[in-house]
Amino acid sequence: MTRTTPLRIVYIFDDGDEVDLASGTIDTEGVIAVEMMTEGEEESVETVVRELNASERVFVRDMSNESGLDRPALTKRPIERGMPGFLEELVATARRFYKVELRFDLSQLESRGASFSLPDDVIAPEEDDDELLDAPDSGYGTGDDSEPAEESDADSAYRT
Amino acid sequence: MGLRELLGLPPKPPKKKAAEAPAKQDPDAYEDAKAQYDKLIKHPQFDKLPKGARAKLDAAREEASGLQAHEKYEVAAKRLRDAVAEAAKTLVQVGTAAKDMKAARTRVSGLLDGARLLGVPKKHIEALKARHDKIVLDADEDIIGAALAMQQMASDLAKDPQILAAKAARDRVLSDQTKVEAAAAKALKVPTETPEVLKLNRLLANAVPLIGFHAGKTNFVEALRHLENCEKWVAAIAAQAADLKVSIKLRDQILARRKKIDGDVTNARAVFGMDKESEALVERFQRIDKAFEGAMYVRDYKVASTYLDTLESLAKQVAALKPQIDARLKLAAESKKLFGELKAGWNIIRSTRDVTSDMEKAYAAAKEKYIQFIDLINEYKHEEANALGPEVSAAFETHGKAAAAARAELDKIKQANDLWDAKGKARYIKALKLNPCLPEMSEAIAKMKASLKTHDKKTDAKDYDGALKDLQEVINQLDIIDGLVKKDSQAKQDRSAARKEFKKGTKDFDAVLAIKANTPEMFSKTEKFRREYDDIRAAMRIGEAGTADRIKKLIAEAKEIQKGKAENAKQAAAASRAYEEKAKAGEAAFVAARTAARNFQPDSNELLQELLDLAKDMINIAKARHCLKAIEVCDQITEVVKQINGKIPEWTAAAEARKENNAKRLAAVNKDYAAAKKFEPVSPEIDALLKSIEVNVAAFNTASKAKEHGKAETHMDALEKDLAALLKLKSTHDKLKGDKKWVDDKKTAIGTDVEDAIDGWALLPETQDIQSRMSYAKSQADGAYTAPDYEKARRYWADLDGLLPQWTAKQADNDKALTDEVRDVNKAYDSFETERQTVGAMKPITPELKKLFKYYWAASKRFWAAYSGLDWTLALEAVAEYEAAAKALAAKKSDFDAALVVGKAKSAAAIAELGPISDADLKKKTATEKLDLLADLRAAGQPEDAAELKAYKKLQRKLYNAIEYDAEFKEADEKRRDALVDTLKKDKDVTEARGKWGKMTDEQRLAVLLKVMNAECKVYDIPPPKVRLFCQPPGDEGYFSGSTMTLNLNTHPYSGWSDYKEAVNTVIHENMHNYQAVLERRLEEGILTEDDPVYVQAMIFAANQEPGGYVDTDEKPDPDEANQKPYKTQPIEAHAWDTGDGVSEELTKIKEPERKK
Repeated sequence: MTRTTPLRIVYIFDDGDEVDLASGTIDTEGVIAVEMMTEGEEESVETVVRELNASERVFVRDMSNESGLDRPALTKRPIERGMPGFLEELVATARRFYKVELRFDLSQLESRGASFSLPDDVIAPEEDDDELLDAPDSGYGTGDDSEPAEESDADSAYRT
Repeated sequence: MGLRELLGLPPKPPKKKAAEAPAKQDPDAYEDAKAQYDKLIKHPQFDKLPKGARAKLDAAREEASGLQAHEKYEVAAKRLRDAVAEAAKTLVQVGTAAKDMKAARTRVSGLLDGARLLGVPKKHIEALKARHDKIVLDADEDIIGAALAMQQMASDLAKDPQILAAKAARDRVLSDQTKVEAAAAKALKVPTETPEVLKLNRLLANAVPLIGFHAGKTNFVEALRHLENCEKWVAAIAAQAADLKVSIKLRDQILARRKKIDGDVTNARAVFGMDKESEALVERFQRIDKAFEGAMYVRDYKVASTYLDTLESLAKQVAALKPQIDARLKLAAESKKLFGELKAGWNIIRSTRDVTSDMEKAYAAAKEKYIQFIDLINEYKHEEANALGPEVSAAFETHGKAAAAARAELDKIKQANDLWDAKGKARYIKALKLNPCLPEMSEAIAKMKASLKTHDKKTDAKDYDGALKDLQEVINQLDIIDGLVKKDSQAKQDRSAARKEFKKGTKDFDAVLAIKANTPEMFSKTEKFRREYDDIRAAMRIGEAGTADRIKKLIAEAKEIQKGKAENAKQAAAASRAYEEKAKAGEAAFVAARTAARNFQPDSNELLQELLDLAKDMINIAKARHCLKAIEVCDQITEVVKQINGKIPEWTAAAEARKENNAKRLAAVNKDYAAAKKFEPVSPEIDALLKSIEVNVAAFNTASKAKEHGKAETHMDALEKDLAALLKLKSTHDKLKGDKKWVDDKKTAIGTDVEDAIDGWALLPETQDIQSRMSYAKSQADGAYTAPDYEKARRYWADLDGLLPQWTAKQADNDKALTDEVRDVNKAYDSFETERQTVGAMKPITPELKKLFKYYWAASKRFWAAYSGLDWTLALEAVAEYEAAAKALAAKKSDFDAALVVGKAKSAAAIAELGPISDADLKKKTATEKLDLLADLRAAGQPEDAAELKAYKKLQRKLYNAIEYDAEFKEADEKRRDALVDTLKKDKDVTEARGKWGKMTDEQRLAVLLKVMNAECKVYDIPPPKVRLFCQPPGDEGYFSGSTMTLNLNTHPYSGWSDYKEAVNTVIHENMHNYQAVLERRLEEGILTEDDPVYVQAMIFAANQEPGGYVDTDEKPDPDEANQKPYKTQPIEAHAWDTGDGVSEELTKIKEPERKK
């Protein structure tokens, strides 16, 4: 029996902007099951999910000169599916090669038993479709033509 | 036109007779002369009159004017007439000069254009152009002189040696280009089978197209330079004919021998070490295999042939291990299958709650066994892992039995799970997506989340009844939420309506908020307004019904308040004075209270913070000129001051209690501190704790002395924590101390013998092997001792302890191998020991020394290759080269000493500049400035002193961090990267491999990766490197060896080789190191010149590759460089990572989706 937890697949643009591609579940083995896909993104989602689900292992990349070479070699330490650390590196792999982020609560998969809570970023609240109010509060400010007190009033007895 | 005519005068009157009487002073005579003058200055060419002539005329005019004033009309007239006549004459000359100037200028311009077209050096052209421009400029002042100068220049240009040389170059190029190109084409077909021909071929291939390129741009000087180089290199290739024959013959012999052992080498490449002995054997094989391939690549067949015997012997030995490797891989496959089975069992255990202590115990035992199993797999100890399998299964079974016994408790969990699945989970996720407006809705969501958390906690605490109640509460809250959905929707509509209304009043609201109340009446009104304004904003946020009406009223009120603005403004000065007086009056009490509160921290923390916050608010409010509000805050300060003063007796008592408590704790702390004093900094962790303890001791003493017992207590807390952590490490400390002593004793006992063995002559493959292992172990041990890592140092000294007897046992056989020819080689080597020692004290700190060092290192490497290969004929030949290189370098010792003095000053200046400069400011410098700084930092070589070296390396890292891609390079590089992506995307073999990689054989995978590599080489215009496969447990994925020009790839079935994305990424990454090495060589050979878009970046790569310039993975960053991996971000690695990741991402990433609107 494997545990599953809700998953969002989010595309990350170079400027940090993001778009939801799909939602579904991921299990302790890192197997992704898609339940809902954004219209028009079906092919992309299927490619990512098919290739990630087919990966027997993922790789932690670094450099090392443990082998006594003249120069450090590029190292890729494999983590077999099901091994500790696989899920974290699966997330990094998805980001590195497909520019997508797999968002899920890892602790849900690692917990043993009836732990049901979810962190807030796994489920995003719907956006307020009403126009947001940008009214200032009634504070007194520091005056348009004055510096912050900490700097300009260094010689005041009331300095903090 | 005659002079008189030019001046518009009547024909010349007859000459006066000498005896004629003195002329009568006639004013008309002067007027005539003046008329001539006026006519002259209106002449269209008058402004061309040279400056001197003009001055003379002006002087005469002034003089004549003076004479006229004294009624000396005749004299004045004569003076003026003479001057006018002379000026008119000059004006005629000006006309002629202007024509001459025009003609000469045309000729000079033509000659200059011609010179430009001939490719006369730019600098020379610029100098000539400057001369031309100056003459043109001078012409404004003196056209006659300028005309002469221009004529002279035209004459000079006709004889200009550089122009004549350019003409000669043109003639030569036009006449010989075809001939030389044909000869070069023929020479380029000569097999590149000696190192010299290989290099000449590279230079020639680069230079031939440049003849036509520069001739096409009519830069014949540059075209001739390349033409002459080509001629020189064609001749040099021809001169290699005899050497080539010998070399080709030798190559064929080598290849024939190599072919015979190809099977063994291929098998040996698929073998990895399984224990210390086989690891050493495989490592030796790989070293010789790479060295052989490298020597073949650079066509040094003599050296390559020295490796053959060893390669054959090692390949046989290593290939013999292949069946063991196959068996190992079979075991690996078995353990993988076993892992799959155990994983399923583990997942069941992991998802089962332990509800009894038996289950907990069984879980702990199962987990321990399972982790042990996983660790063995990760260490590739498959045999042991497989043997452990039944034990893991048994542990899982025990857990299963314990679970069966705890059925009642597990049922409760099941009940909770069922409730959650049926009524909770889906609704809960839906509720999380809500963005509520109503506070009761928000509250219900918060309660729902809190209850679920409590449920989880109670489940953890095995309170299953309590957990079920909490879960029921979650369901209750979900019911509440469902019931509020309609109301919340209405609230959102109300909120929307209120926001619309609010918008209408924004201008009036802002106007009122901007009023600085100066009268009590205005203060009262604005304060009331502010309260309502804030209330409305809060009400609006939660969609309170009726808020829109409240806003309407507030708008009316705002309008009313604004009517009193003018009256209020009149009282500004009075309000300001009132505030100042109030603030001044409270100042002393504030300061006293603040000082008192600070003395009683932490008891006074809350009131002190309140006091400081109020003071800050007051100052800010006063600065914003809300003086009456500031007075109100001042009153609040007075209140807090009173509270502080009232608390002092209580705090004094508490401080006394702390003092006593500190004193009580001191005895125990002192005892631990005394124990800590006995610790030595035997590891970085212990060293850090010892330092922290000393800091806290000093701080505690200072605070106690100042009677700040609260602060003293804080340091006491930290001290106790550090001491506890340190004392916990007692056994580690003692072990490391023991290790250190063990190493020290071992050094004393066998240190000299080890050094003698390392320095001795190893004349047999076995002794060479032992010696190289000892040498490696010694360098590791020394490094670990300095780190300090005494455990590691001990491990390597233990290796040395084991290797020394092996060396001693082989010494007799080794001595027997000392034949006469070996003695000759040894003697030749010993003969220049003095020079080697001199070289040892020198560093490559000038371009000349760098060149000599490179030659010296290459000669040394060649000698040792021959020596290790026991090829005494070649060794004798190579030792002569080695000696010559050592002598050439040693002869430059005085140059080195002088350069070192200058270099030290430069380095000190660079350190002074680099130390304080911020990263941002350093980044702002140009690439050339940063390279200059780097060169200055290295001007005296790497420091010997460990601390200085550490600081030096840190500054080097700081510079690397600030060096970005050169803009020109980046542009060119991105284009190449795009071109590579395009090429690869169009290649079906490459793209289709993505979907079938898992089923492809190693040969098929290699064919695809070679296509990727060759495409990259083509796009980047570099020769493909030799590809060498190896096999070893994953870790090292691949590397490019610059010394052997080989790209090495790991083919272990669990390495990145098994994954399409990773394998492509590795090849592209490593081949970029090939590209960088080629750029560096082109820079060195002068093929890359300043006008090349990659020139600056090639300089950056070369600087990174200088000896000591590469940031190794064991170079530990300082704490302020935390989370940095400088070895990955140094220029050459950053470029390889960027390209590898960039290209592989482009190949695998999905189509960019549409952005959300």
